[in-house]
Amino acid sequence: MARTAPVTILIVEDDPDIATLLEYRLRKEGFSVQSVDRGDKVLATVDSCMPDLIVLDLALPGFSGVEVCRALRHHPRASETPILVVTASADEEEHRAALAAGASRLLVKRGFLKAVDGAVTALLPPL
Amino acid sequence: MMAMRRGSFFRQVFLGIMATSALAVLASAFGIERMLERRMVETLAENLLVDARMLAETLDEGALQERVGVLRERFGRRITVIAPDGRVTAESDVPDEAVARIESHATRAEVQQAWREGWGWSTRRSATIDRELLYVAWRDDANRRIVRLALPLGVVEESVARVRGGVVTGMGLGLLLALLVAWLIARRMAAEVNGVAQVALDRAGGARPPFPVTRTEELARLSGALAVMGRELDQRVDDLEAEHHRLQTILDTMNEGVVLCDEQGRIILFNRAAREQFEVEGEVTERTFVETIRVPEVVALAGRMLREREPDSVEFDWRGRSIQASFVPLVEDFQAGFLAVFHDVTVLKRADRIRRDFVANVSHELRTPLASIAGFAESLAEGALEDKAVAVSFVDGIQRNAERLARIIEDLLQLGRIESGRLPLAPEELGVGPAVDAAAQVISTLRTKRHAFVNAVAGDAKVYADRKALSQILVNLIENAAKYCPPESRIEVSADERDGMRRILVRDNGPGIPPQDLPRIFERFYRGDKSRNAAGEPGTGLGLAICKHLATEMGGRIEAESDGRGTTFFLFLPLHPPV
Repeated sequence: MARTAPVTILIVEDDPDIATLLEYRLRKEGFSVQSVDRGDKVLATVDSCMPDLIVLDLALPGFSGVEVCRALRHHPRASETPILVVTASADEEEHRAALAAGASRLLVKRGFLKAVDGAVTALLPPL
Repeated sequence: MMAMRRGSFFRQVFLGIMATSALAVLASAFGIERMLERRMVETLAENLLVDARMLAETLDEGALQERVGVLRERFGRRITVIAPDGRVTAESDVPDEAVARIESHATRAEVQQAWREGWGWSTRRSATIDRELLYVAWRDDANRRIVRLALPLGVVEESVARVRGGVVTGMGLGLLLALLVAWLIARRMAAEVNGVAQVALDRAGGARPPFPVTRTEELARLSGALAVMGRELDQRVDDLEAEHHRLQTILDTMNEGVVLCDEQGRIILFNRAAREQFEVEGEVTERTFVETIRVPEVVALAGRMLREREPDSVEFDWRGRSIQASFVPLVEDFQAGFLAVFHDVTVLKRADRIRRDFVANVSHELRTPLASIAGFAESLAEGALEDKAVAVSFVDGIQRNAERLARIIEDLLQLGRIESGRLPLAPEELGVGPAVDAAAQVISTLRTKRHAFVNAVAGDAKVYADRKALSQILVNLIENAAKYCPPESRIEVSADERDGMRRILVRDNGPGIPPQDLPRIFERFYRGDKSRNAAGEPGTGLGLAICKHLATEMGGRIEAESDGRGTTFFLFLPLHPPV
């Protein structure tokens, strides 16, 4: 990784196992990782940790993933932050809604972890 | 109307009888008088003939004129003696010197008859003395002359007048009697006609009185004919009413709203379901469709229907219901109106939504643990195995998620078995209290979260249920309460009887279920705010759906109430085996 400053990634995921896996993978890649398990905690966390990228689950308690996307795009600190949506849902309508709400890329869970690494790298702005 | 017609019939019968009676009375009065008069004149004439014969004996040819004057004085009869040539030889009521100047009596009817037949009589006004007289002439063969006596008819007229008084009185009485009889007959017949007419009218008005038995033959026939017609009509009216009733019953028991309109859009028919769907009250016929059903989509369609006359349909939401409206134009009998059928598809749509939700939910619920398993395995394969601590935690993750998958699949299979009726249930009489104790035993959460659990079920409370199913429901309800309540909450189970059923109450004093979630908690995989399920293993989302199905299968049901102070589940089950 040709990065000098530590990159901070915010994981929004209510399933503790998935969150654990994502944290493990991304830390191994050398990222600084923060996790929240509820949609309504995202905006406050964005203010405190100023993430470079957000990994977002769609099925969330509190706000839904789509609502979180929309809120982030209207947030002054996160309007440009890449959002990688990771979802277990196969509902294409929901996928379209997420992309329309401002998600940068979308991954469907299941054998997705390898893809996460590549997608995260691709979405980060080149240094 | 009625009074006039009755009066007319009565008057006709009455006047008819009266006129006939009066004519008969007058005719007979006239006849009797004429006959009486004639009979009296004849009797007088016979008497006069006897007198004439006797007087002729005493009338010599000499001093004839003198003699008739004497006899006139003695018998009070006018006496005329006429010679064969018609010359009057003596005349009692004429002065002697005038006798010779009396015209010939040869042509007098009684004189000619007497010459022919021996005697004759006639009545006429006398030219000689100018009075109505009865003349009787007798041929006196011995002296070759006619002796004629005359008597004024005033006597007869007096007698007839006397008799006539009696006759008139009698006939007057007769007429009075006839009047009474006529009145009675007319009144009775009028009453009979009236009675028949009234019954006919009453029947026209919908009542069914029997036709009266009349004493008049023709009226009896009329009455009988009307009765036959009445029975025929009754039968047809009964048939029509039965038909109408059947149709109305069908229309009113239909779940679909049915509305029939004429070409002006006025309502002809509006069934019960339509009234309920559109909350319409009172009389609707003669009202228009547009002012009765104020749903914009339907009003627009009704307008199009009357203009374009093409079948059409629309689906719309109305006061929380989804309704599908089908319009069909009508021809012929209904003068170009239309028929609208409203089908409430709320339940269908809800079932469809639940089914679609279920498919989405199943896929999500199975995908999530699978994704975790795949993720853990992938990460282990890619190097996590090297880090012992991480590897142990990942393997544990795989195990937990595999168990979770197994539980979900087991629950889905059980639900499938219950729904398809393949779950063998063996209901028996069970004590509720012991069942609650046994359920509480297996719920570790009660102890780990230090809840106060109270079994307040009376010792003798019984229920008719399958032992395993009851246990599963109780475990589920108590475990839910234990999981969703903060530590050291109070969970109480009690039992009573309600509506002839056993009611078991599982009450907690936890945070309660949000009102928007409450109606859906028995749906499969429905979980409200997931964060509430903070402690322990996440449920499969099928527990309450299974409880509901088990309760239903055992002839009972489950309801839930909740507010900020806690939640109560009500489990209703039969007290006894069904009879």
